[in-house]
Amino acid sequence: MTMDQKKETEIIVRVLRGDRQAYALLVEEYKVPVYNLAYRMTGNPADADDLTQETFIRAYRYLWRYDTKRKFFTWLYSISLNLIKNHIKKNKVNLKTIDGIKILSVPQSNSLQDKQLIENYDINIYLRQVPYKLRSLLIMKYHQELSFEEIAEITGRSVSAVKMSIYRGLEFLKKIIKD
Amino acid sequence: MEEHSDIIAAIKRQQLVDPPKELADKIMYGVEKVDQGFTSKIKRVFFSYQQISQETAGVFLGQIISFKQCAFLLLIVGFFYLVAGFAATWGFHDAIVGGDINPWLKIQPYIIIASALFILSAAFLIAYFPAAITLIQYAMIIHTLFIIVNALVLESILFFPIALIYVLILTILAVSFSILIIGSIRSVLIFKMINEGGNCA
Repeated sequence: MTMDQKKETEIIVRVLRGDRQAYALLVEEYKVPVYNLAYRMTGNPADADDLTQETFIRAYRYLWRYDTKRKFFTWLYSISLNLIKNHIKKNKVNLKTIDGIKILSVPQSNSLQDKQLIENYDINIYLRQVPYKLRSLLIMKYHQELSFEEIAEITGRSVSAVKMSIYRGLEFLKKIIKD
Repeated sequence: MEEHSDIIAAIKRQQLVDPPKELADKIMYGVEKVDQGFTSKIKRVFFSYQQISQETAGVFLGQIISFKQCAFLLLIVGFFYLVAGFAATWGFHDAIVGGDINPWLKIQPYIIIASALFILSAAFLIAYFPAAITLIQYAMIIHTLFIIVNALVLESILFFPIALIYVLILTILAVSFSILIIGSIRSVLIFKMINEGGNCA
């Protein structure tokens, strides 16, 4: 997930010294995971686009506050998760319904690819019913394949608390699917 | 988590979505706008450590790159404040004891001494507890803001033009010292960041 720590630090130093274009290197490196996090959390490409932009712009604005003890991407994810949380609270969109419409538009086919597509949509529907905090942990852990330690750093919680929450999230998801 | 392997597999199966191609351009456009903002320019004054350290700290010690150098600079400034504080206490003695002047004016010597003690404590902390350097940086910013507020209060109290000029000169001097210190702290932080691969506060 991360670029070489030293290289990353050098880029941040360049940005802090006024080399704005160096920031584009960080954007290129992390735009895909940040966008995917926002997309999986909101289910809306336009919102994901806006949230990704806001995440990077906010990170740039507050780069001087960045604590280099942390990995840059975990700091970036913290910003992103805060923005996503506020967005979800503010909008309270019924994402289940939005994805439900998408499912109807998936063509009926026997091909393996289409079956996978439907399965993907299904798990998304269930995921959207999981509370925000648990959902974000599940996405970071299993979709983005971050380690427990990285998630703990992002969320500011202990590793054991993260493990416990992820387990609760999985249990919650299992129950929804069964119901 | 064996019992959840199907669910985990289903989440993992979700493919990565490519963001729109113009996303990076939009971000960089937003970043450019941030740079043009007023607050950004103010922050640059305080946090453009490179220019500050080379142009001001360099006057005393060359480029400040270690905690000890930074602590030494704080020590010099703190000592200067302390001497100035005692000189002011001595100079204001009559006014403090019996003068009918504004109480805010009366406490000015003590404010200078308090500033000296604060800066000397900061020097001690940086020398012996380098991890506190980030905290000291913020404390210095607050101290700088206090200097400016204090100057504004004095401007509203004083009426003599010479006194006003005197306050203005002292304020510029104090703010310059603060910028020098903040710049030095940033220099140390950045030097450690480059040389220790980001293991510095």
